[in-house]
Amino acid sequence: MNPVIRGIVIYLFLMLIFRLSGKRTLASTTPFEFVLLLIISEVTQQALVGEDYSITASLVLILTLVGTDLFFSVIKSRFRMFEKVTEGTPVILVANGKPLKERMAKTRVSEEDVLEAARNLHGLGRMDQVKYAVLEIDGSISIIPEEND
Amino acid sequence: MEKIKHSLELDEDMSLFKKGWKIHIIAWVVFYVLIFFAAIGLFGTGPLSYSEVSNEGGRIKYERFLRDEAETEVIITADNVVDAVHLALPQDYLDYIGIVRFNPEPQTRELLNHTVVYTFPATGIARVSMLVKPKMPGRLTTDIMVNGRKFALSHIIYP
Repeated sequence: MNPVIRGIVIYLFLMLIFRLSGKRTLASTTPFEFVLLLIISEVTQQALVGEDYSITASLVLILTLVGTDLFFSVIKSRFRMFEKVTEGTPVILVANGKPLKERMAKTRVSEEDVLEAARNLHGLGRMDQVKYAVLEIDGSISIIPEEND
Repeated sequence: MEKIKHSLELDEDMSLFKKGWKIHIIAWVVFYVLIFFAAIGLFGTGPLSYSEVSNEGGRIKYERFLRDEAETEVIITADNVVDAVHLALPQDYLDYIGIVRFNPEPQTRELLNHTVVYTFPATGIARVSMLVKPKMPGRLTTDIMVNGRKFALSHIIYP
């Protein structure tokens, strides 16, 4: 198959699969997920190049992937809705120290995940010290600590 | 879902999140359905893909679903062979399918009227294994001749 078509198909498939599997999937939160990500990259590499190890094919593929990414970044900057649909939006998981259970269940984030982020980012030890916890579009959890007056 | 008022400068879109959640559920179901069918051979290598055609001259075991550039084995068994197995592969088959190797190797190969005829000296029941590799994706229906008997093979080659 033509490398340009290969590149575009793989790019679109990966975009679709990562978007549909949810933010937390493959956010490299555990060593196993990191290894899984490496395996996916290896499988993708094989699908991209097949048995064609020529420099030309590599250059064409790199050009195609960068070109496709550039195309979508332009579309996203012009159409905000397209960006929201393809990348999602941040979601608040904890507000004023209270976990929002339904949101956490739907995004597959546990209270322990939030507490872990709170410990790592701000050295916080309890949920009531967290003013807001936000699941960002890259799958990471941001913590805004409760202000102490 | 919980509705909250917050003071963050955050582009949270809960209506889109809810719609996205429903699409996620549908997508996950589709994922598992695809994984199930892939496991049973919809994309090759599984019971859904394994096929056999037979007639009074013998039988051919092959895979119905192939993947581009992925090798697979076709096993040809000929019964009541007198002196040789003559395997005739039409050119339209060879346009899609490349022959990697035969086991055993043919004694001769001839090109006759858009058909390549391979000859394997044998007697009795003869079994020839043909390792093949699809050259391009597509749908292929063809007739393979073994000692003058016709076997209809059908392939879907995925990209």
